[in-house]
Amino acid sequence: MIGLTAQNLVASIKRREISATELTQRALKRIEASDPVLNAFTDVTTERALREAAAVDRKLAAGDDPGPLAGVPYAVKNLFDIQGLPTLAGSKINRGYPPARRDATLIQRLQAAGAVLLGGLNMGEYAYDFTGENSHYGPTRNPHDPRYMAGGSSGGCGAAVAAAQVALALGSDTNGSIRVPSSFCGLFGLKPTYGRLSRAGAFPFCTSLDHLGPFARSAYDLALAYDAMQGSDPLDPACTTPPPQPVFPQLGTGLKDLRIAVANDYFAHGGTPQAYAAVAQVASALRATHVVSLPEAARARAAAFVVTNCEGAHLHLDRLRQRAADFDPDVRDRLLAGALMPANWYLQAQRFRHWYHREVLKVFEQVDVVLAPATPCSAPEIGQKQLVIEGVTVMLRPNIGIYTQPLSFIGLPIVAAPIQEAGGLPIAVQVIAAPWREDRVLRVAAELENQGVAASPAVLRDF
Amino acid sequence: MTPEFLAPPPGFDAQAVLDTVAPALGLSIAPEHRPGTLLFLDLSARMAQFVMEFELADDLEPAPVFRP
Repeated sequence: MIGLTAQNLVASIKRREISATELTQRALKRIEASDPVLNAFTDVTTERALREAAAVDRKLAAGDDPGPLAGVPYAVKNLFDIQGLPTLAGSKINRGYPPARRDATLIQRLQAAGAVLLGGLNMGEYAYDFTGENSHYGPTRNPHDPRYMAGGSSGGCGAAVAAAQVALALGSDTNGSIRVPSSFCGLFGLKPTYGRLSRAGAFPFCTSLDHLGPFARSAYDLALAYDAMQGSDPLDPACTTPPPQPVFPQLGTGLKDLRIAVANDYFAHGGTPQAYAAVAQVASALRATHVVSLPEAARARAAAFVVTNCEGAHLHLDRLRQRAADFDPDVRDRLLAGALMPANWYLQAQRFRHWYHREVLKVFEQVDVVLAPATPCSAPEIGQKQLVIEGVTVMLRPNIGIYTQPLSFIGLPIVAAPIQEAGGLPIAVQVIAAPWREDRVLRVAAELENQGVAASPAVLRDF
Repeated sequence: MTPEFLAPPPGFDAQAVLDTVAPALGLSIAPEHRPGTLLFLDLSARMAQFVMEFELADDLEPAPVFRP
């Protein structure tokens, strides 16, 4: 039962095959049994979960609508405010901060849809990470093989959903932190358009690049969660005001109206054969024979690096002044470097960003959807520091996000669609569209799931 | 393109930047944090130079928020 998708769990609960309370208890047992190895959770909110589940069961008993995510167990990256808990954002420092007084907006919306919150999930410190490693709380381990990274920075999200501790998770993506763990753990992940989903009540990293979004084991589940979370929010100044545009009803209606192409040039270099094979497999299934080039993508990636380094360092400047020794060493030195950056570097990167955005929108006049690898490789081993690409040894951490960074840089909506490897580790393909076209990327992901090309079976073994 | 293969700005001296800018920000960088900070400052400089080399029109404004 716990390995079912959110959509199927809701159906079972509504048919009274299982109560929300029973399902929650099973999920809590799964967490208890598997988390000593996976290390996905930093806080398990048992009492709250049972209270929320009981509320769903009461509604069902009274004949009321329990919501589109009735009883679905989920958890959130621990940078989301959970009422009553300190918002860790993967840090030791924040553990000393006062507990959150209210839930983040997206948690409130999932709760209103009937979902049941099971806790906060481990992450790379302050989200400046692609590995899922954390010197304070230990690394999150990949359920497909615990010797390997879950990916970051939303590593707990990746492991918890892949191992069926929960059916859904919420994470953040500044440069790839939803798409990288989705690739390494073999999940569907949605990074919506910048400004689409409210970030209120989530600890920031780089305000001009931060996005929040869901992880799931089905594209249909992504759409269910996404639809439940849409809507403007005056508490997030970047959140836009268009009315919600539900996507779930549009899934499974075919793709005949969509022009789909593969990104070449920059996106066809710097990766392992597995990354390109996954893109080719998806392109073949979608009969996508055209290729497109996103101009100056390498420079966009460099500019994203600069903006991140500067904005992240500015956010943490006081903490760097007062408590540098309390940071994760892998994060601290990068933030210290970012604090020293000349303003001209940052402003050039932001102006280049405008140019690049305009040029990429021209590409989307010719095509509707673009395919690209999500990561250059499948999950590296925990502790690995280097990567061999095309015969050259390079630093691992700065290269995991080469394909994700140039795209989030201009806020495009993207689904990571997982391709399973028989006997090996999964890897994902990015399905990319023009701003505000989450419908297109989710429709394509659902089609790939329907064809059996993209899949995310739960890892149900004991740990 | 991996940052190791990009060129830093001509004449860029990470140590001089650290020693000048850190005190101006009230940032005291401990000796044990210095090698890592210099390594990443050099990496950022290489990335930044790649962006700085791109010619932009005078009227191209920064665009931290996007609309379709």
